[in-house]
Amino acid sequence: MSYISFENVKKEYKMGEITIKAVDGVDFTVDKGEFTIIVGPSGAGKTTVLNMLGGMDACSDGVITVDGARVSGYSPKQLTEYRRHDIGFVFQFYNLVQNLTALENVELAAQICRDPLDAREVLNRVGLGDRLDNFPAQLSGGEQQRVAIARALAKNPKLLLCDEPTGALDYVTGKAILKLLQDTCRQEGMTVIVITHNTALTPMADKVIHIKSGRVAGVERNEAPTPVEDIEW
Amino acid sequence: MVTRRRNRLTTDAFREIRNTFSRYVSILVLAALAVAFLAGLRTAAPDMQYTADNYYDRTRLMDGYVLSTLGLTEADLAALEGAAGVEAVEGCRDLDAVATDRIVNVRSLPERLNLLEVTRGRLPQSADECVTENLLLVKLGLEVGDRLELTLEPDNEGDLVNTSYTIVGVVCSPLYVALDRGASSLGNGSVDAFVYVPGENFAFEHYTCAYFTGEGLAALDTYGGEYEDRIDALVDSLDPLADQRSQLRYDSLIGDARAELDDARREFEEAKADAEQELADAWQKLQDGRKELDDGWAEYRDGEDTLVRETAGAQRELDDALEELRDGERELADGRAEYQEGLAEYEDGLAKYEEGLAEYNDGWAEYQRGLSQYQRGLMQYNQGLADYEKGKADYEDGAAQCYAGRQQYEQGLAEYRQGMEEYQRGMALLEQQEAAGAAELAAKKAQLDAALDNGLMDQAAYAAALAELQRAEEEGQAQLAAAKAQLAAVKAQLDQAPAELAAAKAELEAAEAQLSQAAWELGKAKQQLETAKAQLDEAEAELNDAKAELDDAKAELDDAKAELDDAKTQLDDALTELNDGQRELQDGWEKYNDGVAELARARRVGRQELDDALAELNDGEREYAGGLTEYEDGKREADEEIAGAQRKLDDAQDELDGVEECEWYVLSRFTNAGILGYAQDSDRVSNLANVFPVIFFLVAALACLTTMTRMVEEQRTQIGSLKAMGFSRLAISKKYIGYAFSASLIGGILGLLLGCTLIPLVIANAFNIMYDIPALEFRPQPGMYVGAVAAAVACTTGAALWACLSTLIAAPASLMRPRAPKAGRRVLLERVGFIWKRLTFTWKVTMRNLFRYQRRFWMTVIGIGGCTALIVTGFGLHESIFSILNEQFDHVFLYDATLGLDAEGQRLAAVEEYLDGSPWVEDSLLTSETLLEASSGGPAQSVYLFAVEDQARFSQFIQLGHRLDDGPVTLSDDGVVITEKLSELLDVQVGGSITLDNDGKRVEATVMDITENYVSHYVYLTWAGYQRLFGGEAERNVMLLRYTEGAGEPESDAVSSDLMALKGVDSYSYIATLRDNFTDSMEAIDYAVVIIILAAAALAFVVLYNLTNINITERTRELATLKVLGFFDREVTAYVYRENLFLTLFGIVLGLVMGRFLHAWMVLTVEVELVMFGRAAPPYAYWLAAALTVVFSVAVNIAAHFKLKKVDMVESLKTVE
Repeated sequence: MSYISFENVKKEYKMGEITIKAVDGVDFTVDKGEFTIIVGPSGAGKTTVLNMLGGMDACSDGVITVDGARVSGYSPKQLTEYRRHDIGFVFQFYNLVQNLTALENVELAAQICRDPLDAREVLNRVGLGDRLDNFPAQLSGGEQQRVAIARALAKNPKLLLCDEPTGALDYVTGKAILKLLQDTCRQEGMTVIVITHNTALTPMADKVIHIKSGRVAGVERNEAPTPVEDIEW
Repeated sequence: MVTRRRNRLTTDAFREIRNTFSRYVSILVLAALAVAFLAGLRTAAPDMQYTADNYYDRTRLMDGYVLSTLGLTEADLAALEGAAGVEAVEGCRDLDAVATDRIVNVRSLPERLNLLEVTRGRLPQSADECVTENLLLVKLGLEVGDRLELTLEPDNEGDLVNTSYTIVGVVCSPLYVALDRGASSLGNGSVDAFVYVPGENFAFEHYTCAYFTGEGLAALDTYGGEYEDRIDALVDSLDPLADQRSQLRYDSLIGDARAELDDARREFEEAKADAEQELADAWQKLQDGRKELDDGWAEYRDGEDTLVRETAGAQRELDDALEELRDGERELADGRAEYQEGLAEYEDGLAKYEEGLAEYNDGWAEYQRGLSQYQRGLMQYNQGLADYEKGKADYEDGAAQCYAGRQQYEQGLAEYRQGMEEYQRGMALLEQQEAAGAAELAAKKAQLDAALDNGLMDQAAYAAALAELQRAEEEGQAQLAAAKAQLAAVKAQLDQAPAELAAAKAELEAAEAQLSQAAWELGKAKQQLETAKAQLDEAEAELNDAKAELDDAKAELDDAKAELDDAKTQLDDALTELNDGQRELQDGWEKYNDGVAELARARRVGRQELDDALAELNDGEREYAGGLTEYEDGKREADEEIAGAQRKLDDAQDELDGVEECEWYVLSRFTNAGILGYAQDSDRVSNLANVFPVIFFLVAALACLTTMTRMVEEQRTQIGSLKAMGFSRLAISKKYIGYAFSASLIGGILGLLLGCTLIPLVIANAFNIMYDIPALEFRPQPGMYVGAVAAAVACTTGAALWACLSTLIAAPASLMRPRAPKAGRRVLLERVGFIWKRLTFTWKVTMRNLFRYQRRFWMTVIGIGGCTALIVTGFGLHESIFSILNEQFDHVFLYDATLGLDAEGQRLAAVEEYLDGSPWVEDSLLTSETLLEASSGGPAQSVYLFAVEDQARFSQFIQLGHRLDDGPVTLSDDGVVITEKLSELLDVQVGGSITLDNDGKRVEATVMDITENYVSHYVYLTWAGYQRLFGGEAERNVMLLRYTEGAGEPESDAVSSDLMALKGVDSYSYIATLRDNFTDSMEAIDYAVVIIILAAAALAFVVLYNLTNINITERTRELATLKVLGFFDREVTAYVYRENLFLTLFGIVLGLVMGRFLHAWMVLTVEVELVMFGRAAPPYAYWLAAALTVVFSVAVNIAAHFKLKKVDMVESLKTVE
C-alpha cells in the first residue's frame, strides 16, 4: 500500500453549458519519504492535481488516499481538518501575512494544529535564526520563501506540497530553496511533492510524474537522484 | 481605405461598468441619497413659501389692515386709499354670532381683497346666502344647500338683516391659513369658524376693519426680506394718517354725546324729586289704615277667647259620657265574642259527636258484614270437608279395582306364553313328519328305479308304482297341509293376544296414575281445609274484639251527647243577657247625641258672630294690602325707572369715559397668526436643512471616495501596462473619471428628481395638518439643483481623478511590478509590553491590521461615526422638540388657564366669587402681566412682564428655577429675572442690563438671574421692583387659574363660558389648547426629523456594507491563504470580524461624541426665536443610535460571512497583481 495514491481521479468544471475536463483519469502512487516532482506544461492539470491532493478542491470521480485515509470522500469540514493537520503548503508567491514578523507568520500556522514544532527552531533550521523579528517586506524573496517553508514545516504535516516554489525566485536562490526542500526530505523523512513546469529539475527527484492534458504521461523512478547542486538549468 | 477604428479603451470602460455593476450601483445610490437629501430638504422650505406666496397673490391678500377702537367710516377708507404707497383698500364689517353651539365670525363678502377660493359650490348671489368653511359644516353636520341659523347676542341684536342663510359654498380664505380663528367675547372666548355673507346684511354703518394692499408689494416674495422691509416702511408711514383720522372720529363722536348726556342728567334729577314726594304722601295714608285695622283685630281676638272658654266645659262633660258609652260597648262586644266563641265550641262538639256517631255506625255495619262473611266461610268449609271425605272413599274403591285388574293381566300374560310354547312344539313335530314322509318317498322311488333298472319291473309297473307312490305322496302332503293350517290358525289367535295384553297394561297404568293424582289432590284439599279452618277461627276472634270496641264507643257517644245538650242551654241564657245589655247601650247613645247636638248649636251661634267680625276685618286688611301693593308697585316702578335712567346715564358716562381716545392700529399681514406661523414653521425646516444634509453629504462622499480610490488601486497593473503601451495619462484616466462621473451624475439626477419632489411633498403634507394652504407648487431653484448634483459629481469624480493621478505619476515599470506590499509595522501598543503580551495572537494581528491600513481605518470610523452621530441627532432633536412641552407646561407653568381681566371692585368680586364656588378651580392668583419690548442694543423681543407680589404664592403657578442645577430663583427689588432664551437672544448675562420699552416708556433694568423657560419670553420682577422701575403701581389684569386634578377640556369650556359671561372678563385661555397648538406645530418639524433618522439609517447601512466589502476584496489573497492553512470558515470570519467589531465600536464611540456636539449645534440652528428646545439629547438617543449601528453592523457582517465563505482558495495561488 502506497503512502499516497491516485486512482483514476477526474476533475470536471462546469462553465455554463461547457464541461471542462481539467484532470481526466490520473493514476499514480507516492511512497512515504519520497521526493516527488510532478511536471508538465502549463494547463496540463498539475495545479488541479495539487489542489485535490492538498484538500483545496474535491475531485469529481476516482479515489485519493493519503496515509490510508480516503481523502476523496471528505466533507468540506473534514477537508479543512485535513489541511490543518496533514498538509504543509508552499506557494509560488509565499503568501506571507505582511503584517506579521517571520516568527509570527510561523506561529500563525502553528497555533491551529495539534502537534506543532517550535517556531524558532524551525526558522533556525531553514537558516533564518537571525531574522525572526523581521516583517516580510524586510526580507528578500528567497528568505520569504524560507519563511513560507518554515511555516509549512512547523505544522508537522504528513506531506509538504510546493507549487512552483522557485517560480518567483532567481536561479541561485531557487536552487537554495530546492536544496532546502531536498534536505528536508532526506533528513526528516518528509514526503515532499513539488509541482513545476521546469523539466530540468526532474533529476533531483526520487520519482517524476509527467502530466499532459489531464493524464499521466509517464512515471519515472530515479534510483540515484542527483543532488541539487549538480543540476543546471 | 480608412476603417473606423474602435477605441478599445472605451470598450474596456463599458465592460468595467458591466463587470462591477454592484459597485457602480453603490456609488450611484450614494450619490442619489446625498443629493436627494441635500436638495430635498433645502428646497422644501422655499417650495412651501412659494406655494403660500402664490396663494396670497392669487387671492389678493391684504398687505396690512387698520383697526380702530371706534370703527371706521367711508371717509376713513377714502383717506386711507389716498395715502401714499397704498394701492387698494376695502372695508370689512364683521361680528360674532352663535350657530347652534359654535361661535362663528360673520364677515362681509370681500370684493377686492382677501378673495375667497371656492372649493365647493359657489359664492353668494343674494342677501340670504352665505359661504363658510368645511370645518363648520363638519362640526354642525350641515351640507351645502342647508340653512344656517345664526343667533345674535343681545348687544348686537338687529345688527344683521338676515339671521338665516342658505349655505351655497365652501371656501378657503387666505386670512385663515392656520387653524386658529381668532378670539371672541362670546362663549368660551374663541371663534370656531368663519361665515361670509353679502355686505348688505350688516345693519351698522361703520366698518370694523379696513384691509389695504401696498403698491408693488404683490410682486415681491411675502417671506423675503425685501417685502418685510417695504411693508414695515409702509405701515410706519401710515402712522400720521392714523393719528389724524382717529382724532377726527373721536371728536365727532364724543362732543355730541357729552351734551346729550348732560341734558338727560338734568331732566332725570327733576323727575326723580317729583316721584319721591308722591310716594311719601301715599305712605302716610297707608299708615293710618293700618292702625284702625290693628284695633279691630284685638277686639276679635277677645270674642274668640270667650267662646272657646264656654264651649270647652260642655265638651268635657260630653267627652266623659262618650268614654263611658265606649266602655259599655267594648264590654258588650267582649260578651258577644265570648258567646260566639262558646257557640262555636258547642258546634264543634256537636259536629265531632256526629262524626263519632257516623263512625260508630260505619263500624257496626262493617262488623255485621264481617259476621256474615264469617258465617258464609264456615258454611263453605263444612261443604269442603264433606267433599273431601267422599273423594277419599272413591279413591279407596279405585285402588282396589286397580289391584284386581293387574292380577288379571298377569294371568293373561302367562296363558299367552304357554300357547306359544305349544304352537312351537306342534310346528317342530309337523316338520319332522314332513321330512320323514319325503325320505320314505325317496326310498320308495329309489326302490322303484332300481327295480326298473334291474328289470325287475317293467315300464308299466314302474309307471303304476310310480303313480301310486305319487298318490301316496300327495296324500301325505295334504295331511300335512291340513295340520299346518290348523297350527296357523292357532298362531293367528296367539298373535292377537300381545296387543290385547298391551292395551290392558296401558289401561291399568292410566288408572294407576289417576289414582296417584287423586291421592295428591286429596292431600292438598286437606291442607286447604285446615288453613281455612284456622282463618275462620281468627276471623271469629277479630269479630268478637270489634264487637267489644263498638260497644265502648257507643257508651262514650252517649256521654258526649248529654254534655252537648247542657252546653246548649247555657249558651241560650248568655244570648238573652247580651241582648239586654245592647238595648241599654242604645239608650245611652241617644242621650249623648242629644247633648252633642245642643253644644254644636251653641257653638255655631257664637262662631257666626265671630266670623262676621273676621270677614269685616279681612275686607279691611285686603283693602290695606291693595293700597300697600299699589304703593310698592308705584315705588318699584319709580325706582326702576330712576335706576334705569341712572344706569343709562352711567353707561353712557362709562362709554364716554371708556372712549378715552380713538385709536387706529395699522398692522401688517404678519400680525395674522397663520401667515406668521407658516413663515416661522417653514423657517424651522429651512434651518434644519442648513446643516444636516451637509454632514450627510460628506459621509456619502467619503464612501464614494473610498470606493473609487480602491478601484484605481485594484487596477494598478493595468494602468501600468497601458502606460507602458504609450497611452496618455488623460486617455488612461478617462475610464475611471468617466466611471465616477457617470455614476455620480446619473445618481445625482435621480436623487434630485426623487428628493426634490418627495421630501417637500412629505413635509408640506405634514404642514397641512395645521395650515390650510393649497397643494404644493415647486419653485424652480436651478442654483440649488445644479449645486447639489455638481457637489456630488465633483466629490466622486474628484476622488477618482486624484487616485488616478497619484497612481499615474509612478513609472510604468514600477506599476507593472506587483506593488510592494505595504510593510508590516510595529504599532505603538507593542511598546506597552504588559498589554501586548496579554493579547492573544489573533488580537495582535487585528491590532496591527487596524493601524496598518490607517486610511481605511479612519474612513470606516468616520463613516460609522458620522451615521451614528446623525442618528443621535435625529432622536435627540425629536426629544428636544417634544420634551420642552412637558417641561414648560408641567414643570414651569403650573397653572391651567389665564383670565384677562379689566375689573375692579364689584366686578372683580363677582369673578372671585365664581372662582371660589367652582368645583373645578383649585386656586387662583390675581397678578399683573404686561406685554412689552425688551432689547439690549440689537433687535427687540416681545416679552411678557410679570410683577409678582408674593413669590411664595406665585411659585405655585409659575415655577422659577435654574435649568441646569434646579436651583431656585429668587426675585429681588433691585432688578429683573429673565428667561433663558431671552438672555441668549439679547446676549445678556446675570449682572447685565436690558432695556424694557412699555409703550414708549423706556427703562433700564439689571438682570439678577436667569430662569428656565422654553416657550415665549418672560421677565419677572417684584411689585416694588415694578414701582421702582416704572414709577407706578402695576395693574392687576390677569388671573392665573389652577384646576383640580382631573378637570379637562369640557370643564375648562364650562368655566370659560361662565366667566366670559361676567363683566370685566376680557379673555380666557386654556393652557392645554396652547400646548396642543405647539404640539401640532412641532409635529411638522418632527416629520423632517423622521426623514433624517431614516436617511441616516440607510446611509449607515450603505456605508458599512461598502466598507466591509472593500475590506474583504482587498484582502482576498490573505484570507485565501488562511483557508489553505486550514482555518475553519468561522475562524476566517472571526479574523475579519474582530477588525470590523473594533472599527464599529470605535466608530460608535466617536459617533456618540460627535452626536453630542452635532445635536447641541443643530438644536441651536433649528430653534426659532420664540422657543427654546431641550439642549441635551436624552440617554435613549445615544443608546438607540449605538444599538441601531450595531444592528446594521451585525447585518452587514452576516452578509460578509457568506461572502467570506465564497472566497476561493485558488486565489492564493494566483500571482500578485
